[in-house]
Amino acid sequence: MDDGSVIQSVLNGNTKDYELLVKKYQQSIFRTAIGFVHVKEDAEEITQDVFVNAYLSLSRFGFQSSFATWLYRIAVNNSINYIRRKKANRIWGNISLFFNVASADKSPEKMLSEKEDQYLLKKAMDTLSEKQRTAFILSKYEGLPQKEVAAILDINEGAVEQLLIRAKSNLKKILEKNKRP
Amino acid sequence: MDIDKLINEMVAAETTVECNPFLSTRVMATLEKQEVQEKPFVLKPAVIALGIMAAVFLGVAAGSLYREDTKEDTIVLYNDSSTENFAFFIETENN
Repeated sequence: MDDGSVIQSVLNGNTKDYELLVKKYQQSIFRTAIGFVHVKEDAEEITQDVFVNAYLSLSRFGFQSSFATWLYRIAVNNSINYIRRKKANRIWGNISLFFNVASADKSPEKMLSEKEDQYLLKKAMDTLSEKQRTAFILSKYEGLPQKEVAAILDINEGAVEQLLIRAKSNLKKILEKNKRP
Repeated sequence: MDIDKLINEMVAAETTVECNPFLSTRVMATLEKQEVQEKPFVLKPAVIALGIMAAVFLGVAAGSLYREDTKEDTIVLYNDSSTENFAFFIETENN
């Protein structure tokens, strides 16, 4: 059953079928959200809101783009709004950001150094412009082709490439500035 | 500093995080809850419309109950001045 048929079925009153779409896209939306907020619990909250908002607006989905593109747009908007709302709780955010870095079997010094690098990288990501950050997350976290990122951001492919180049360059600059000698 | 390596490590670390397997159940439960909550919003305008209709109907019904009294009043013509002469009072007061 393709996305269009499921959407039609949901619009015809078979609400339970919506769960098929949730199960299909939940991990992708979660990955996008975690790219923005870096905290699992927050990303789950955003993912839940994305699917609830998408359901409530489903009758307005005009099939002009794919359902996935439409869903990514909602995810990006929800994530950006969530970050704006959460700016007040910066102290707790910084603490959880530092401890919320995946660790492998490495020496404590190396782990700490990597944690610090990743923390700085996450902080640097947060300083990027919304468009640069969105393009970076959709491209790196989701591995979406530039064509799809362009469709989600409603810009052309060349602009996406420029955003990615600028995002990487800005990240490098910020990291070099903040890194201890 | 190898920025690409750092980015790849961070992305790899974050993309391996799995979301809650019960997330879809949570979403469906939220939607069901919202649908239940939405029902009163559908009923509310209907109840208000019914109330207005009932008020109008009762008003019309109460108005229609009124019947104009067609019975003619009996007028009694009585000449007061002939029964109690005005001069009599004047005289009484003077005394």
